[in-house]
Amino acid sequence: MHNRIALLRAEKGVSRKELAEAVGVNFQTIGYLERGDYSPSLELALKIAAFFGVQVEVLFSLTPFQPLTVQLARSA
Amino acid sequence: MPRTLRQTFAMSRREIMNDPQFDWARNRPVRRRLAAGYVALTCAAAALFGLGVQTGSLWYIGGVILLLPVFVVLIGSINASVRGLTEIRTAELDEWQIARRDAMFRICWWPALIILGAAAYTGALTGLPAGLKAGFAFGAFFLVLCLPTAALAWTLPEEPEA
Repeated sequence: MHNRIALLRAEKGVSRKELAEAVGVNFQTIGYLERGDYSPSLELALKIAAFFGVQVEVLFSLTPFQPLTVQLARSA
Repeated sequence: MPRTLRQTFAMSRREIMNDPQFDWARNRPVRRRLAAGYVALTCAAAALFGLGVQTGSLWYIGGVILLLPVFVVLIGSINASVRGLTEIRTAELDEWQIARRDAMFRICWWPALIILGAAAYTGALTGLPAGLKAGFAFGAFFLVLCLPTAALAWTLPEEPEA
C-alpha cells in the first residue's frame, strides 16, 4: 500500500511523535508506515486521515501516487 | 539527572522498555550483537553446566552461577532493544507492535518445539553421558526462553527518527 503521510506531515509541520500521539500509536509505527513497511488497519488509516482533515483515499492508495511535480505540471 | 532505584521501580514496564537510556541498543547492529551474544552465552553456560554434572566439580557450577548476572543484564538489554515487545501487555502495544510480536511467536513456535523435543529425546531416549544430556537440556531451555525476543532483535528493521 502506498501513502502520502510523510508529505502531509511535512506540509503541516508535524513530527512523527506528534502525529503518533494524536492517533494513539508509537512514533516508530508512523515511520514504518511512511517507509511502506507496514499497512495500517482501517481504524488507524481513518484516524490518520482525520488528523490531516482529508479523505482516506487522499492519503492511501493501492497504486503508486503520481509525483507532485507531474500533478503540478498537469494542473498548470 | 539519573533516576533513583525507587523512581525506576515506580515506572511501568512500558515506560522502562521505552526509556531513552536504552537508545544505544536500539539499532540493528547492536541488537544483532546482543542476540548473538545471548546464544553464545547460553552455549557457554550449557557447556559449563554439562561439565559440572559430568565431573561433579563445583567449579563449573560456580562458573554458571557467575554467568547468571550477565544473563540477567543481557536479557534485559535485548528486551529493551526491542522495546519490550514480547513482555509488555497487549493493551499497551500498538497494532504494528502486536503484528510483529505475533508474527515472531508464530515463526518461533516450531523451532522452539523442535529444540525442546530434541532435548527431551536426548535426555530420555539416548545413552549419552549424563553431562551431555544435562548441558543439552540447560542450553535448550535457555535458548527457547528468549528465542522470540532474540529473533525479534535480529530481524526488526532500523527504527525511524522521532
